[in-house]
Amino acid sequence: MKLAFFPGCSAKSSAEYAISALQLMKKLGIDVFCSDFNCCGTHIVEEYNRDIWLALNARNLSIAEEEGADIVTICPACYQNLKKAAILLEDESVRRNVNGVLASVGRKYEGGVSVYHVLEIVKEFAGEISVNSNLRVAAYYGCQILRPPEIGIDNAENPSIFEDFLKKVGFKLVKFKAKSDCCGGTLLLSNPEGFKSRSKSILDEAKKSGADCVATLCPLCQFSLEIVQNGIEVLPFTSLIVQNL
Amino acid sequence: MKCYQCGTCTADCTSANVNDGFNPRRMMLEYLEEGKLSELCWLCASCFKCYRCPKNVKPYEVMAEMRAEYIKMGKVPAYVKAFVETVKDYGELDETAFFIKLAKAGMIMDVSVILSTVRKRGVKAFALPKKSGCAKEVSKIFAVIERSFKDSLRDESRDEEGVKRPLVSGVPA
Ligand code: SF4
Ligand code: SF4
Repeated sequence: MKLAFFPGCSAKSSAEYAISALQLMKKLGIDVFCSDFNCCGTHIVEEYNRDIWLALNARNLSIAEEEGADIVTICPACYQNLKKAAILLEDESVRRNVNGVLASVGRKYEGGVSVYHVLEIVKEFAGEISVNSNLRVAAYYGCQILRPPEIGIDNAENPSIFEDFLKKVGFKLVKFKAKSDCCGGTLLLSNPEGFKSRSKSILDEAKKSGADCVATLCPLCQFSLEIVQNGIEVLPFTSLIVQNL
Repeated sequence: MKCYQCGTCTADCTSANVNDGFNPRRMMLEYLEEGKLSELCWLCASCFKCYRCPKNVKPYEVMAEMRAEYIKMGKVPAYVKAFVETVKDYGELDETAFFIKLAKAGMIMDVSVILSTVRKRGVKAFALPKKSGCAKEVSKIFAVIERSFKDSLRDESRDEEGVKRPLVSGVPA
């Protein structure tokens, strides 16, 4: 399988996540490459103008298609936007309209590109990864990787994909009650105090659970939890693995 | 109406938890029954916790619909405008460009956020804005769609109620 790597804009403030995810995939022999992708738009551009949002995502999908690749991203928000767009673009008439716009930049999308979150990819290689670590880990999902349920990568009510994977590669997992609570990161600009109290409560819960560190899978969660740090280490899960190989 | 006012959404809601005034149950009632918009929709965290709604009302989608309504009316919060313009000009969310646009609009970032960014990125936190390779194509896509939107306000692609039909997606926002 050939994969186009989509780091997403917030990966810049969590460069560590993007770099370690690439390192891990390369180590596992996955054929992954970087490309000239644009911003997924997020719900902000979608609400501003849904046509623009769809065309931006179609451009990204068309780039992967041109290379005969699927897309892998580290960001749950990008995952959600790309995936939603890919589903809409399976409709031929929608695709025809969008291609009318893409033609102005010399591109075209035929459909059929799959979108994955990096966890979905590396979990298939769990047997080939073995870490040397006694760390007790709190696996933190956050929101958009699970919800809404029709897009999420696991059961939204009772997810286990993340813990299962980390256990298989050799970490000890704690029972973490806040694992799918919201870090409030999206409130960073509109309600900074609210954002901090949400992120803080996630870390307090992690401490209570007896964890040595929190593993994240979202650049925005990573950024948010780092801002309110309470002494417990917070790491993107791919860094956690690469550091302990 | 579909919403039967059980309050499940409000009980689960991230934003209600950090803002007493934020009540999705009440917002659903007022918007779906009376068409009343609430500025509070901008404070929704998009956490999708309200997916548990037993009537499948999807309050998170209704919040998005309200925000889109405000945008159509030209009532766009400064950070939304700054975000869209940054993507349009730079192809991606160049953080420096975004922060400059925010500051110009009078929005100053929380100090702890700035400190954390500086701590992590060192001098790179002060990098100059830089257009990504795709910036030209992205600006073009914006221009093409925004032009056809303006055209549609003049010609017959306007429907009976005078509302713009979606040009590309075929799916209303
Ligand atoms: S998506 Fe918005 S309304 Fe729904 S639970 Fe989250 S913050 Fe509340
Ligand atoms: S939107 Fe759904 S969960 Fe919220 S009050 Fe109405 S029926 Fe209940």
